[in-house]
Amino acid sequence: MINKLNESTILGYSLFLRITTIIGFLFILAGIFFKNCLTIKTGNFTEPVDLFILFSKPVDLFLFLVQFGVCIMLTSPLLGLMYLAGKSLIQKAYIYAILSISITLFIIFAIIMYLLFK
Amino acid sequence: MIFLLTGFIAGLFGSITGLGGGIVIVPVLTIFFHIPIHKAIGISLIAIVVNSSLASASYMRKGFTDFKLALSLEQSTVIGAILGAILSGFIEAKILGYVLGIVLLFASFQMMTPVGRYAATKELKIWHLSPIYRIEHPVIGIVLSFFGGCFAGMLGVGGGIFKIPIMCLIMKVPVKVAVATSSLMVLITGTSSAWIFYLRGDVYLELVLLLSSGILLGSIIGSQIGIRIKATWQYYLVAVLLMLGSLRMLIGIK
Repeated sequence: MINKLNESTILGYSLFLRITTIIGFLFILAGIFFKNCLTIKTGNFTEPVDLFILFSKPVDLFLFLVQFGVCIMLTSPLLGLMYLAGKSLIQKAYIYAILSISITLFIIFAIIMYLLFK
Repeated sequence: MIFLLTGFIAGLFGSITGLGGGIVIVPVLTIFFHIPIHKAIGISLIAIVVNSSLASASYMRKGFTDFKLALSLEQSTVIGAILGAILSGFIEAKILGYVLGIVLLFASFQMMTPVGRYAATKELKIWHLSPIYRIEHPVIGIVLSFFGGCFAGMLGVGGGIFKIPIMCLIMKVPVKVAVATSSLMVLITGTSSAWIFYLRGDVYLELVLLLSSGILLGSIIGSQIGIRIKATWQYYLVAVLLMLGSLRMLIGIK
């Protein structure tokens, strides 16, 4: 069993986080071109819409782009952990693989529990 | 403009200290813009994820992040956070805030003492992008992280404010490693909480756009400062922000 992650795994994970965050941000930023003005007065914000309607019916392009961008940014840490787990398994650094997988499962479990009992 | 600036300041200090940035965003949104606390926390959590992603990526590339420590402590933190979220309906969060405020104020004073500073600011060696140092009291650290996660879940915060004192004062982790490792841990804890708030609809999308723009810039600059700054200065900055965070809890500002 190997006790340390190798450099390429660490650099790959770091690059993955950077790229996905910037892509997510670019989607959010693109949303600004599809909104006439940003309503920043207190209590005058757009009410958030249900995430799932994005995939069931056409919505405002601003909402679509911003929500899609946020989804990418919130999914990337979980995908990153799975990447870390996969690379650790290949590298035979099993302790890292077990720890990464268990955290990912905890988070997915928490989200599923919320969706089931909200 | 003020949201961009708030995001920038939160990103800057959040990435230098590894605390995330919620310590800046939530009070600004609630006090100056009268945004309901749940919405403020939801927006703050998404901003924290953006900040921690970039900050932790930068620290990893320099070899400051201890993956084994982060993943081990995160096990108990995530379980604690889930339990805390369940218990939050039964325990008065205000009283909890006062208790934690006193504990954190004590921890911040402890960090200022030479004894607290010694281990955290000693010289650090990096080998193949992994820090070389010796951890003390790992079991106590894991147990305390569970309670830290529990409190974070109850109070609805990312939890960076609990992780740094545990690592620096109890586990004698060098401050640069503690900051980098905390960034990664805040990213993981923040993501799980952010998903819940996002699915619940507690997020204003316009604010996410404005804050994340500021955060992105602040985080890129802040993480570069965090890498280059002297460990002693970084350590004192963490202690001061910790003190401000504890005072915020004691005064009762959400």
